[in-house]
Amino acid sequence: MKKDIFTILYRLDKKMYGEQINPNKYMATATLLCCTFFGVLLGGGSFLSSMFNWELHTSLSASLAAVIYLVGYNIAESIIVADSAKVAILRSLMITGILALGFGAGVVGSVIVLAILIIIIVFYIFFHVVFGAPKGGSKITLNDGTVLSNKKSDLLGGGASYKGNDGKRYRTDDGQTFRQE
Amino acid sequence: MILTIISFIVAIATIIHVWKVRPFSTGICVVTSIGLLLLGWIGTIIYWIYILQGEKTSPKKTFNPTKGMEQALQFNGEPVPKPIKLRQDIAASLLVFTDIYWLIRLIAPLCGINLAISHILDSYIVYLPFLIAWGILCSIASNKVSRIASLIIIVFALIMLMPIETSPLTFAIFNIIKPLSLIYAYSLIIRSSNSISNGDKSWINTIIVFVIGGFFYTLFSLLFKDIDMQYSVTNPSSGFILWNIITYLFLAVAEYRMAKCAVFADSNDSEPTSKGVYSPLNKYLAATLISISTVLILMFLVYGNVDAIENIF
Repeated sequence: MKKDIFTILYRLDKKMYGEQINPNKYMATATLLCCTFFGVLLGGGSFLSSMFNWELHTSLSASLAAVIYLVGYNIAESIIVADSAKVAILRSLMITGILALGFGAGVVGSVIVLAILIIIIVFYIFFHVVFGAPKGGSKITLNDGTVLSNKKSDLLGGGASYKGNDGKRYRTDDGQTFRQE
Repeated sequence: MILTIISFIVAIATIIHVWKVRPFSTGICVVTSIGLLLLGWIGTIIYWIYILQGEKTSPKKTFNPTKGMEQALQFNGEPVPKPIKLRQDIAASLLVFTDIYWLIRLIAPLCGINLAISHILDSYIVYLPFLIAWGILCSIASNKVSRIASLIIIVFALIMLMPIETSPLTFAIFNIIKPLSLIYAYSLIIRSSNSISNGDKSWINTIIVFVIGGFFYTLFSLLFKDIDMQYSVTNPSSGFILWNIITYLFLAVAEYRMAKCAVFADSNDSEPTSKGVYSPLNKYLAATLISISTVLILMFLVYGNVDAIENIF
């Protein structure tokens, strides 16, 4: 059987119930991915709304309703495709649990990922301001052909100093005119 | 051919209705009318070229699977004559077209495109090809059970094409009968033959699941009328539109697989698969009732405690 991300739950079904069930290959996994997506929208939206006051807040009731719809789809599918009532009930419960976990993972995962991203951005800005631009940053060519690189911005004010390809250091206060230090 | 004539009569009736109501400008009315008639003509031409010609080359009553094997193509281990395969292809293409059209209607507003197509025209663009497709499928159905199933769906398509204005109560009753009859019809197709492959069966089951899913919406909109839009799945930020897009993609594949399955291979499969095949008391009805009651109970739990739930985040 082809192993790809879109048939995870089909493979789990086949492993658990074998020939007692004949579900659609992609349906259950598609619902799981959608539930995770609903979770990501809810978690990410609420997190960004609370952090930056952006209008991204998602209603939890709307997200829960969306998950409930997909649970309903899977219950219907379980009953239709299972050979016995026992398998139908077990599969319904299993998929409902997995969808709930997917939704929860989406909420928590999105908050964690966004928090890590924000921390990285904050640290990058902090180090950029304190220690200047990283080496190999923007290069400026002066009228006489001197190439300036290794920009170091001042902590306060708009000034910066550069290293020229002639080995000398150059300084600018307005970003337009340069003088040798 | 009778179906095509009926389609034309319905098309002309709709055009007259559109002209009377005039929901949009005269120019659009003219284009719409020409479009509708053109669609009808295309259907007739397709019918004439492929189906009538197919009938001549392969008369149904004297069909012999071993005759003309050089034209036969392998399908699920059984040879399917080329004319029948052509009909399957046409029906499958028309059914896929309807799903792709709904998909475009869904995605266009997201891309900022306003298609400005009226509800009447929508019905025509979707249900006329749907009607023609099921007319074709009915003509190549393998047995009486699948033929009856096709006829139920044809009746449904015809009703959807009628520009009838009804009271809200009649509309609500129709919206409940519609999915139930469709679920019954599709379940008849599955149970009509043992020769359907497991893969095809799983896809036809998917159509039934999506019809049940549509039933959730109908009952939800009937029972939860006062729910604020921001708390319902229609709130764009819930992301439910992604599932709607996936639904049409699934339906396109599922309907293609169904049109190409062994039931519509004109194989004169007259053996009933099981006793009580027409009984509506089957697992499909059980699936409908159980899933709908579960969804509604959970919805009542959510919407009965909206304030408490909204305070969590």
